[in-house]
Amino acid sequence: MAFKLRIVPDVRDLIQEQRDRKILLPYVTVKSAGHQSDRLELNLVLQAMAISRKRPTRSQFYIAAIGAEITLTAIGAEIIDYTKSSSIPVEYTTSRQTEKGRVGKIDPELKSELGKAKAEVKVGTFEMSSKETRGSSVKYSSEEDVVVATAFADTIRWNIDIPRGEKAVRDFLLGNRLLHATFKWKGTARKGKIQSRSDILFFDSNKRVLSPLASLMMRFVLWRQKINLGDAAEYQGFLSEAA
Amino acid sequence: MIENDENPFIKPLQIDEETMETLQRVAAIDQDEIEVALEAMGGNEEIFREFGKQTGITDLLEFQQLSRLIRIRDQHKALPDAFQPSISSGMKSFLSGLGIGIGLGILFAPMSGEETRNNLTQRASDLADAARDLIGEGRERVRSTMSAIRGQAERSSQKEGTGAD
Repeated sequence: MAFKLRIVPDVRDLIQEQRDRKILLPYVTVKSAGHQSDRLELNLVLQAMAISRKRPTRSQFYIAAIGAEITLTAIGAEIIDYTKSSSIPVEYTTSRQTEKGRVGKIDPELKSELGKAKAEVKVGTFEMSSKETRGSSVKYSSEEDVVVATAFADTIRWNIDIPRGEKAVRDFLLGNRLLHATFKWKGTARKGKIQSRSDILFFDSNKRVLSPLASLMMRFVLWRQKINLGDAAEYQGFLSEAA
Repeated sequence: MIENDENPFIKPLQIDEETMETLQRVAAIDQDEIEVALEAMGGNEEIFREFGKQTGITDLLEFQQLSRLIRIRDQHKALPDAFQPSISSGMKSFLSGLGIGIGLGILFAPMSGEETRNNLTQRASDLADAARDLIGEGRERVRSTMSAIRGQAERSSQKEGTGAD
């Protein structure tokens, strides 16, 4: 008999308004990966919210995440493959007309340790070059989005972070992150869970991060106004059923 | 710019004037206006605990700190005026400790992307200034050395000329 994994609850069941109030939406798709094996594909949608007054004005605050943690457990199964640690290179170039013209380069590095996983991140290299024609440009290259994967027994944990400190392009996590994991089941019982959690913080109108205490107080104020922010489906379970 | 309000991943959230003002007063906790922020956020410890339970954040350090602050605030409010000074001094020392913590947090908070970009441009410009000064200084040094050598050469050739006569 063929089996199919069912995800409960499924983020797709939320209405649009509910989805728009969530910082992290984990869309899970299950595909068969051959005999006794399943591949789980996670499309993490990281969103932000721009708070403004009801009349048309500039956004006063932003709500977003600077980090997220996804833990996937397939009870008793063997992990065959999964998304490994990675980072996204960032290239940023700006130019302007000046009366100066020389060359320079700064290349700092950051080494961090996250649980058992270690990550080495180049904080950024920036080069300044110019010609006698009085034009100058600044090129900033870095790795701003870091995924650290840790696998242990039947569990995989992914930590998605924006490195602390200077960031030239992004202030918070936005967009899609695609993760996957393939399991080989050992018995007939096929079940597990996915836990998704993000670090929700508030940012001012210049996208400068506010303190965690201020963020918590502001979240409380909105909650009292029935605006409940958070991550959609913090816990999702999956179990097999006859196809 | 990647982050702007037209970005499909940034969802608009419109709130009324009163809630916006409350948020602004609460955000003032980052400028050490702790009492103003606490007063503005309203609620009580019970409601706050319910909020923590519903959002699953009761294990956060900030949640526990804030619960304690709300308790002190509400105890302070409940006391008759005659008893307030003694509580007030205890609360003030707690708040000043918290204020130092928040102040340090803000001091070491990272800059926003826009500020970082401006900062990078400024640093590059400073670097260029320094390089220009160095090159200018070097050029000046070469020029003065050359003129010293030229002067010396002219003097010796004049001496030789005089000797030949």
